[in-house]
Amino acid sequence: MVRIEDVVPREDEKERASGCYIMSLVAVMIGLPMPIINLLATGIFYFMSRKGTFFVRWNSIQALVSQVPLFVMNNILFWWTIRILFCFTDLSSTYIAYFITVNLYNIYDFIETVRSAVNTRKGLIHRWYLYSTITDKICKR
Amino acid sequence: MKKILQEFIISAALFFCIFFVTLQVDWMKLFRLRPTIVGDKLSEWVWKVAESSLWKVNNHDVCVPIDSLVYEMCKANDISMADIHVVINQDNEVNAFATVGNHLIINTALIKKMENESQLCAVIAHEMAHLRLGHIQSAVRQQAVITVFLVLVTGNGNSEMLANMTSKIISNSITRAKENEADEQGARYMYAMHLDPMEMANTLETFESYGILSYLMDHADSKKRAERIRKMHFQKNGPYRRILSQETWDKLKKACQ
Repeated sequence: MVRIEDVVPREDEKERASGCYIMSLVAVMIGLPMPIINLLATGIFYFMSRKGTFFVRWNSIQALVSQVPLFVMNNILFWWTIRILFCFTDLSSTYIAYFITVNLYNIYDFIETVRSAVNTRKGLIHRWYLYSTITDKICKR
Repeated sequence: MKKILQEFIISAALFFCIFFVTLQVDWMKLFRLRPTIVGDKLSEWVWKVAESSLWKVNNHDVCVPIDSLVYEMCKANDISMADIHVVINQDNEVNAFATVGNHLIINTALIKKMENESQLCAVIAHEMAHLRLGHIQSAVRQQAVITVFLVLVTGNGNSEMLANMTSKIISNSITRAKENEADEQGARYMYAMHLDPMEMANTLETFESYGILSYLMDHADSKKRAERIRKMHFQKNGPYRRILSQETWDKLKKACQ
């Protein structure tokens, strides 16, 4: 089995693979209150790159997989916030605790995405904990 | 697969650990927040908008008798008078409504149309019941958010439009079931202050005979509402009293002309 670390990417592959992470960064910035947007954007980019080379595919899948838990967490936070704004429920310490936890995760995700984009542009592989293992399982050469 | 599961459990445990740690802090106390802060801020905003469209009456002959009626009602029903803010509004529309912040708005045209103080008390009791039963707080807050979104989407923030919208909000946000509930509670308030609770039914029928469509449009059929009141059982606690003297009542009516 060919490992992603064994692949030597070409210049255009590095650029495209790095674009996957940049895409999710841009989507996070644009659609911050609407969590579906970054998942959609990464999903679209994945479908555009799925016929690409192994290096591009692997990175686009890792970018997509990394967005899934973020989407779930942000979605819960989004609808919880809407419920508070529409007065269906009251503001509580539990909400603030969840808000802080999810935001910490968002910051971690943001930093990791930037690091991935930079490393991928250099042709290096940036492995995320858990997501890279899932990506290895999904993405075959 | 085993590795994925292992890493997933570690990640999930880490997430829940952080969540658990943040849960140990009483953030509400730390930031001095109230659970209802969002609703309260919205209520303030709705009241600010509604207030801008009112013509407040400060005439002594109008305010004192109305305050006396409200005071008697609050006293008899164990309601704190400080919690109810009565505003008399110079308006030709026969209407009274309860709004956020425990504000009770009574239009001068309504006072003018009422035949006696019991009828006026019936309207006040109905609106006070809306306030006490929490109908206003729950419904108007939700509608206020919709209004804010509408303003943001349309970009139309002119105060007249907002004021009109806010008065519509108040009437539309109260469902018919809540109207019936307020009628019944209002009748009980009247009974407690030794006024004839059946005046509530009479007042509802009076509205219909006057054809005050603007007042009744968002409410259930007034005849049916009156029937519901008449079906309520009250033990006799008469003779019913008068709160205002005939002279004060006449002065009140005259001042509202």
